[in-house]
Amino acid sequence: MAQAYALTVASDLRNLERIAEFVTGAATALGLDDQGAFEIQMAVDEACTNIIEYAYEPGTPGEIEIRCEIEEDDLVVTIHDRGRPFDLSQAPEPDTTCSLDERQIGGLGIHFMRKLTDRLSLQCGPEGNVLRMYKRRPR
Amino acid sequence: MIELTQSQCGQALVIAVTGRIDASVSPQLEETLRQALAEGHIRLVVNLAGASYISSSGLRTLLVAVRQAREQGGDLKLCAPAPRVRQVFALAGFDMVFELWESCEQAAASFSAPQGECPQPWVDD
Repeated sequence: MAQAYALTVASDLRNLERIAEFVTGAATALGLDDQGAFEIQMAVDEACTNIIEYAYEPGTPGEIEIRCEIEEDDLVVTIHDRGRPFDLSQAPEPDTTCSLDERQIGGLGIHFMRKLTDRLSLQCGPEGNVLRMYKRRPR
Repeated sequence: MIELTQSQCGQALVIAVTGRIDASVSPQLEETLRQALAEGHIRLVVNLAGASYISSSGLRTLLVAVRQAREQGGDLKLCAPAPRVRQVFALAGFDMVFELWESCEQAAASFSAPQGECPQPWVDD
């Protein structure tokens, strides 16, 4: 049976560090190098921050389930929440070249998620939202 | 958890950050910077030597503070970021918005040195 690592935590910002430690450890154990583990850790940190701050209603926290496993050449991190659905495709890409005055305050988290993974997929349904992040393992 | 310590270096107030700057601690950094600016410390240096990580939330906090500092006639400069933290700044294009200095002393001195007479900020090869 394929190796997998799973963590379930309350959707609380104070759990972000625990999530980061879990993802870094799992990614390393599943074959990513230090740089790859850092990058997927950051992508997951941004995704979980969005879930905690926007998917769940303030004051009524839910749970976040995270699973790390290998599929062919990729590390796949699956993040499941039961908060409000979100349409990733509608999130605008921030302009990272403009001047200070023109900088938008938002949108950077999703920019990082896109830049630091090889592929993202998000499915929203009655059972909640399932975000899958793919990170190619070094050969 | 982050630890924030303040010290004076020349004309600048240096705020040293130790720990992981994610969304759980950004409000703490934001409040410290807001308070420093409200007290008239418009020349700020954020020392990132002890910061192991910064997320988009931390970047937003710094963006808000640098805008406010410049509006008040000052600036917010950064020093000594670890390679991974520099990488995050580059990925966001923030290395073009902030002055990044190798050391606190250089960052602080750049506030008072006449233009052209101070060392240049860090530039990636």
